[in-house]
Amino acid sequence: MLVNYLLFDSHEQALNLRSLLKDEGIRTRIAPAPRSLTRCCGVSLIVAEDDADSVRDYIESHPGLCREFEAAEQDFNPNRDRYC
Amino acid sequence: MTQIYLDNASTSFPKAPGTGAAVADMLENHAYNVSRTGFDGAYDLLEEVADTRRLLSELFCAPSDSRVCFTAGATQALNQFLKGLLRPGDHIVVSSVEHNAVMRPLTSLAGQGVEFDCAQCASDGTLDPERIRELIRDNTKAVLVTHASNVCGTILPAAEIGKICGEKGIWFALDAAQTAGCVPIDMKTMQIDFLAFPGHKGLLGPQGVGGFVVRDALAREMTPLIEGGTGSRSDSENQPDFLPDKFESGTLPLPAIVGLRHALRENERAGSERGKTERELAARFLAEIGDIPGIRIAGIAEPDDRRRIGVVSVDFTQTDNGTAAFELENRGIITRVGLHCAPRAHMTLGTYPQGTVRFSFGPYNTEEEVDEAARAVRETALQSLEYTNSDTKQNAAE
Repeated sequence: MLVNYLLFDSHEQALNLRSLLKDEGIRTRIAPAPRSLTRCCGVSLIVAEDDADSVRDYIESHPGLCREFEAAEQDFNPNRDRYC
Repeated sequence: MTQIYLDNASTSFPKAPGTGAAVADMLENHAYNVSRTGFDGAYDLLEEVADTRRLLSELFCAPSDSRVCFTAGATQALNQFLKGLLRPGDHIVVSSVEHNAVMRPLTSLAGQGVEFDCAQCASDGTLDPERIRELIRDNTKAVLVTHASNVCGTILPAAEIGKICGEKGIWFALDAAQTAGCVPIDMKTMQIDFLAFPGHKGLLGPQGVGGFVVRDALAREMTPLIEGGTGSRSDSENQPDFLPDKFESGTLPLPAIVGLRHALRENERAGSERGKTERELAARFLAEIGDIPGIRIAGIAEPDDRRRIGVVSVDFTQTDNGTAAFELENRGIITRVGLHCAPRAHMTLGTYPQGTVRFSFGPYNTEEEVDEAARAVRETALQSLEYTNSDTKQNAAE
């Protein structure tokens, strides 16, 4: 399943954009950035597919709020990846 | 005996109500790290840090292109400015009432080829801004002045100096150690490029945190004093070039920041509920001690003069100031005696090397406490005069 991630330079930048998007009525979820998308140990915001276009429009009209907006395959399979 | 704490220029006491509890709550219940650990508790704490920055930015009317960076205090912030900006061959202008937080790093830098001049203040600590203009040269990179003397409380004309710096195209830095939280500061209208502030004095927060607000263009010219982990751009061994990470390596003093945030919110809430301002209390004190023989007020002695903060320095002319401070302490009045880490300021005021006894008021002092302190000054001064007179008579008789 493809998941949309907003990537950042710092945690504070992520919190700031989360707050701004919330003001726009767009809910995001903060999460560790996938290693496949960035070598940085920062956080990301997960964006629902339905909101992806609105988010893209928003960050294009407000440059500098994030580093990148990428999609990545979420390969965690709860049916397979059982550890106990 | 009840103690009356009048050393708020060293650190405020009491702190804003609830500050200690806020720090304790953080340490007991959510003492995580930020920008490292990734879970809701850490994000909530980071929101508090971000909110503290926002409150400080609003308080100082920081322009949109400026940012708040946390340090251990104003001294570290001032070191960051001086050592991060100045290179051999650069020149800077300061005033003659600067604290050693400025003079010591500057003297150290002078040994490496940085040049500086001190604009001479008058004997009451006031400064004609034209003295600054006269000292600006082709290689002058910046002007750095204290907003108000920590010795005598005289306010320097920051807005006028900012205007001169703007005209000359040089950076203007303000040391707000004594004024942040006590005197309105508007970075935009006062044309301040760098503002150093402590969290534990006029802002009534805990010791251990202060910081600076810096314009982006100046921040780009400054190298960080400390480099290391920031939790950002971890794939790179180069220090991040963006704010505040560029200047905030290592774990932040999070308990102190949480305490400062609480204090800032409490200051905002309390506002008009508090009694007299520090400046009004100092004016009352000055009015009451003005006629006392055997003392001299260092700085502006006129109670109604608004070019002062809540700091009053007294020189007991008939006795050692250390002895006078001890006598005051015996009467429950807590002051600070000596040179207040500002020898050049005392030279300017004519109180070097004997120093002064400094009374610095806080927002939680009362008029009754001011009256009690004034009575103690009167009794101590009269006692010193009696001793001097009896000593003189005894010498004459011999």
